[in-house]
This record gives sequence, structure tokens and C-alpha cells, in this order.
Amino acid sequence: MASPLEPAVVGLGLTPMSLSAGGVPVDLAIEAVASALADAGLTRGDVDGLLVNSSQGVRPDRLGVALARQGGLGDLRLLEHVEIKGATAAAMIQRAVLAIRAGLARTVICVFADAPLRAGGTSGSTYAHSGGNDGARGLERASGVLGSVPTYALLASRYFAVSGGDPEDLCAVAVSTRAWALGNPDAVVRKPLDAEGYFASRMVSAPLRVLDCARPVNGAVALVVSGEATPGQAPRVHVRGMGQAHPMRRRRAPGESWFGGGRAAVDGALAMAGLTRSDLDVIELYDPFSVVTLLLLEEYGLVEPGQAGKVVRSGATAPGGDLPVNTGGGQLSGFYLQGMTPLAEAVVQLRGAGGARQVPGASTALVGGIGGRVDHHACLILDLEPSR
Amino acid sequence: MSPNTASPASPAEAASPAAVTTAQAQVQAEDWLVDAALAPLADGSLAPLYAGAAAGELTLPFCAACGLALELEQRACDGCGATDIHWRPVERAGSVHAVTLVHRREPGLVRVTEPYPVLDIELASGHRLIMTTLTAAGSAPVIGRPVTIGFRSVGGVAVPAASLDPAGADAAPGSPTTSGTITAPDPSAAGLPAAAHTSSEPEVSP
Repeated sequence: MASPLEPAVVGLGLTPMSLSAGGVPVDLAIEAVASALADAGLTRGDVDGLLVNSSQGVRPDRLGVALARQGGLGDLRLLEHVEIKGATAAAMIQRAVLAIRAGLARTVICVFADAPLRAGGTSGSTYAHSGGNDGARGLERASGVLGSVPTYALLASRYFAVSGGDPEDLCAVAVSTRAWALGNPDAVVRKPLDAEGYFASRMVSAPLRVLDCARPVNGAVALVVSGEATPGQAPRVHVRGMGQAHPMRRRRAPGESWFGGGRAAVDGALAMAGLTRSDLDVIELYDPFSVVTLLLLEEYGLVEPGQAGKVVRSGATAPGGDLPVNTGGGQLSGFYLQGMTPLAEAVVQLRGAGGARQVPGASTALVGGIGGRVDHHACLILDLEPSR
Repeated sequence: MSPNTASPASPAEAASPAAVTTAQAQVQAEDWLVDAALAPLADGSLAPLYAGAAAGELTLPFCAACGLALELEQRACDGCGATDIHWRPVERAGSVHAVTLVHRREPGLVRVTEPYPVLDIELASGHRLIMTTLTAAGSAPVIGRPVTIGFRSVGGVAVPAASLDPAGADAAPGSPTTSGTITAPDPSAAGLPAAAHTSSEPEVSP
């Protein structure tokens, strides 16, 4: 029997976001799940579904479906490890909503946890040593492409070449995002930033500086999606629109290899919601690097082609602007927990729980998740009103 | 000694048989950029590429049925669906499609003390391949610049690398290369050159 209510996000739980080594994903996940259940006013016994999102790559401690057993949950009707890279968080919500609508589950936890910061090494070092020596990745690594920054730097150079953008645009993204972080107690970087500070920061892979890169943390986020009436105090956040796009760009001439094709995910989500881009009050995007914010603003049709840099430099995306983007500081200044970063912030904003960074009257949010090298897109339109 | 501080050999020296032998031994011993620990798996999924490279050929995958240039890890043609893949030598020439100068140098894996270029090269065959330069280069070439393809040796495995000097195309794997790509490290080269904006590629429509 289907649930009585439209499925909605009814619980949100975040661990503290740590910039130092410590914690393992399973323990962080259990902590976030407990927090999300408490937020929803539910207990473990109310849960009949668990969706798990782990970091990519084969790490011995990565999260998996064993979390159900290790985390002390009871019998479940839905249990899956969802994997479309960084797009997974938004896709898990889609999966949970569809399962609840189909009567396959009533109350589903979606959780992501990661602990890339290890004793004796930086996260950059962890990533530099990952990837193996086989296949295209092995060839790239033998060519000095270590970690993901050089790859996104190539993307940035290509994006600049076709859009006319330049490093001032990257600076504007970093400064705008930091301004939002100042109002978010969960953000890990809350020191004011101006252009001078940005251009003084260390170059990692030109044109990307360290302040163009996400801040990895050890931490976890869990959400509860339910079609039941729940006792939590926060407003229900409905999933009015959902979309995915997996453009098969080819690494050959003459098309662009690095971007393009993601717009269909947003178009589909808006069509399902019966809304247009002008209805969006807040935009929460997956921003592992500043250039991705610029790219997605254009690719998702939120600004005119070639205008992203100009729009961000105008202050429109910053606090007080008319196109609020990554209102918690994003992954750049908030915390990098992959697709959970934009998703969690959208829920906070729609609940009106944003405190100093609250966008007044925010009732409709776009959540954009990307995976791989901007190869996978999963979008949500979250809204205080249920679907029709 | 760091490659970036080495005095570039003059072309005349590089052409002499004695210099060839000496330089060849050095190249076989160590790559200019990365530690041998980053040697790719020569008999793995890209075995045809590495076998070709060892013989001085740039060998890349095509659809055996329709001839479409395929990605390195593609196992079925996106044009016609055929699963027969034919690896064959291609012209060792292309142009810069995207470029970065990498400043972060992971200790133990990266041998140089100065930033190094990473290029996405669009080959004459249509394939796009990420590589570094044949020898140390302190600045990054602009998008659209023509390159020829030679080979570096990483832990004894030949891997494609871009030469900014046309003579580089004639280099056999592990052979010495001309010094044309060596320039003094230039801190001002950290940002992308303005010329990177003058791409001949069409505007992408989001």
C-alpha cells in the first residue's frame, strides 16, 4: 500500500565537518543517520529503506550496504548502494521518492560519509596516489595528471577558450562563495576573502588556485525521505522535479570533450515540477572547483551563454544578489561532501533555517549534482509545496 | 640534477652519435617528469598503444567496421555498434586542445622542481589524448598550437608526449629529443596566456 503523503525530506543530519584526520566512514554515517532520525522525530524502527552513497575508488573503509547491519537497523524492504559518482546524492533522493511512490518503502534514509583526511598525509596526497596504472587513467598519471585538479584545469582552459572567461571570473566565484560561508556555522572556511587574497593564494594547476578547489572534510550527511506523517518540527521539503542527463561526449574531434549536455537534467526536472527557471529562489550546485560553478550556470541555462563570469562579477550570486548560488559556501568554502553539500544546503534554505545566510522567502530550490568529469548530472527541484 | 636546471644540449650535440647514446641511456634510466612508480601497465587494457609506442608508432583505436576514431577504453563503436576494434598507427601530429601548467608536485611521484605542462592534444586522426611534453617546459603552449608526438620512457614503458618542435616527431622512443621545448621557468606563465581565448573551435551551446 502506498504511503499516505507525498514523499518529502523530513529529516536532515550532519556530523561536525572535520579538517583533521580521524573518524571512519561507517561511524560518521551512523552519527549522521542518528541525527537525521532525531530531526525527523523518528527512530530506527520506523525505517524500512536505506540508500548508501560512498566515495569513489576502492578504499577498504568505504561505505557499503553493510552499514545496515553495522548501524543497527532492523529488517529493510529497500537497501541499495547507489553509484553514479558525484551525482549519487541527488540520484538517491530520486530513487527514494520513486520507491515510496511505488509502495516499495515508506521511510528511506539516504546517507553519504567520507574520510579522505588521513594521519600523515594531506587529502591532496591521498588523491595523488589514487587511480592505478591501467587504462586511460594510468596513461594520464604517467603523464603527470595526479589527483583531479589538473583535469579540471584542462576543463577550465577549454571553458575559457569557448566562453571568453578568465581568472577574474574564477576569483569572483571564490569570493562570492566565501561571502556565503561567513554566515554558515557548518562551513569550514569562514575568513573573509577579497580579490587580493584570492590572487595571493597558491597556484595548484593553472588557472586553478588552491582557493578554486573544494575543501575535503571527514564527515557525513544523512537525509530521511518519507511518505508518512512524521513528528519532526521542520517543514516537509517536497521533491517536485527530478532529472538526470548522461551526455556521451566523446574524446575526439570535432565536439567539445569537456562539457556540454547537462541541461537536459534541469529541463526535465523543471518540466516535471511545472516550474520555470524564474521560479527558482536558490541554486545549489556541485562545485568541486570554481570553474564548475561558471560552467553549470551556463550549461543549466541559468545565465546566457558566455555570461556566467559577468553575472558572478556583478554580485548576483552573492548574498543579497538576485541569483543566490551555493548559499552555504558550497564545496569551496563550506565543506566537500560530494553531492550532499548542495542537497543539504537546499533543505536548510527551504526550511528557513539558514540563519545569517538565509535567503528571505526561499521556497523553491534547484539542486544540481555532477559526477565524473561533468559526465553525469542529477537534478532536483525541491519545494515547500507538494507536487500536483 | 633537475631537468629544469640542466643546460639544454645544442641541436648539434643532440645530433651527434655519441650524444645520442649517452642521452638514450639517461632517458631509459629516468623520465624527466615522473618517478618510475607511475609507469603504466604495458600489458593491460592499453597494450596495443604501448606496444606501438615501443616501436615508435602512435597506435590508437578505430572501429574496424566503420573507421570511427574511438576512445582508449571504448569497447563498442558509438557510430555503428560494432565491437571489432582495430588499433593502428596514426600520424604523429596534432594541436593543443586544452592546457594547464601543473604547480603542485607530489613528493616521491613528481621529480621536477618547477611547474610542468599537461596538454590535451587533438590529433590529426581525431582522437584526443592527454600528455605532457617530451622534455621539461617552464611555460604552457597556447590552445591551437601545433605539436608533434614523440615518446617519453616511464619506468621502461614508452608513453606519448608532445614536442613543440617539429623535429620531435622524428624521435624514436627513448631517443634524445631536441631542446626546443626547454625554456626558463617563468612565474608569470602561471596564468593562461591571453591567446588561449582565440580558439578556432566553435562556441559550445549549453
